[in-house]
Amino acid sequence: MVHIRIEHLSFSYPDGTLALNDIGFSVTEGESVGIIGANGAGKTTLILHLNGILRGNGLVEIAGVPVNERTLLVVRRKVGIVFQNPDEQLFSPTVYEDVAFAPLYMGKTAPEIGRIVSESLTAVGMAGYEEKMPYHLSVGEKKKIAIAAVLAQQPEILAFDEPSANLDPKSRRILLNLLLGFPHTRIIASHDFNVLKELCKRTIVLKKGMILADGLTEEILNDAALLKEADLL
Amino acid sequence: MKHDFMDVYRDRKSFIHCLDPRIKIIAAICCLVFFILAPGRNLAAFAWYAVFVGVLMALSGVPVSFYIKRFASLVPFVALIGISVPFMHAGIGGVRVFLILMCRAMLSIMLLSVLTASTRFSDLLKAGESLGFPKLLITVLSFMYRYIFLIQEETMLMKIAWHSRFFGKNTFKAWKSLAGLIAAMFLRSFEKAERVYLAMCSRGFSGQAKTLTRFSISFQDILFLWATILFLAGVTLNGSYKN
Repeated sequence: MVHIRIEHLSFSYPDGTLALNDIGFSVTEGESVGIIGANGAGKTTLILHLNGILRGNGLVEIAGVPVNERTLLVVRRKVGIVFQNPDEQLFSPTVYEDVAFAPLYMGKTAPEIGRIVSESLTAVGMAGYEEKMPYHLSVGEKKKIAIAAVLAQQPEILAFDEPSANLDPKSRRILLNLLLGFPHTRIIASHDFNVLKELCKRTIVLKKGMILADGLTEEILNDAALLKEADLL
Repeated sequence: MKHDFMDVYRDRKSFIHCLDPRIKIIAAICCLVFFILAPGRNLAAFAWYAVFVGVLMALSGVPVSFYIKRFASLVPFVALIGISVPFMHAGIGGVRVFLILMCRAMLSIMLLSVLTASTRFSDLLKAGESLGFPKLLITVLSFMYRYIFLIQEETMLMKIAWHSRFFGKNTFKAWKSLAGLIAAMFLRSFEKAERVYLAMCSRGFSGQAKTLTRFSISFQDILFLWATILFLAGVTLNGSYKN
């Protein structure tokens, strides 16, 4: 089943910068796809289109549901986005409240919310952190809480924007092991070739808002000419 | 980064903490009405109000040092606003009006400090919403609550950047650059706030204030509200009658 379908998608920011230029691809259920590209290639812009935070011209379809004004809430339940900077994702006074944010707005009851929060924190190995303040945690811990907060949405698709950014090697390893265990359809935008090699069989290369290549990660990351053309070498 | 300057004492289990936030808001509004409308000549009533607020502070179980700090940080603003009052009335009357104004302001500040120190801010918002406060006001306050941490964090970062470049020299240029820095801080906070809003939207935020707390009004809440109203009314009317 096709989980993500994007056709002829273009997007310009208000200052006129063309961030996405007629791109199209599809992702099947359970697939893990990497997105690479130089700074400003359009990776984050593309990720933000998956749950309708940004809406450009063209088709974005999530699990058969086209993303538009009417379907926003449905789509946002299906797609969980983990932002590059966890400080921008964790906005509540305690870890519990942050992880409970999505289920609360999904209309879950208090016992259900308690169960979901507990399961989400356990899934990322952060059980027992419920009453801590997110701001006082390390970057690695914040990342895990941000992932738990997104898991609490019970999404079908997980999208990560630079998941390994600012992490020390040990935290990075822990995070990779965590992500490998998720059965969700995954979209991972990253500069970290090792992350893509480990997590994604398929990789899409972006350059100036256009798709330069779409294929097996192993082949793409070994193609020096392609990487050079994408300003990645 | 330390961000625990709000809701520091929210998890205490004092009598005041356990009251329903809606009852606390209604009681606080009643108190404010009495504080503001009590006749200025009724000094005994102000003394009783102060005793009443003192009792609430003691019942809240929040350290007095917290109230003193909050009081000290807010009173100068009130004094600044009221500073012209003594000059608007002839003779000693102006000073008296100023002192009564300060009295009312100090009582109100202490009362609201008890309210905010003993209630989660998110619960206050939800209680306000359920009491029919304007939705726009609640939304603005809820964003202020989330973004105040961001502004504080940006302030800390900018402060570090400023100190690292001026080597402690207290020159005019250094202070001039501080003005630019403050402007940059607000711009950075604005952009960061925008990204936080996007993160909230992506997790289903709909503009409504929602909290995990379920409110329920108990007999204790009703008793507290009536006791507050009767006490304040008694003190005010008694003093006014005598005068």
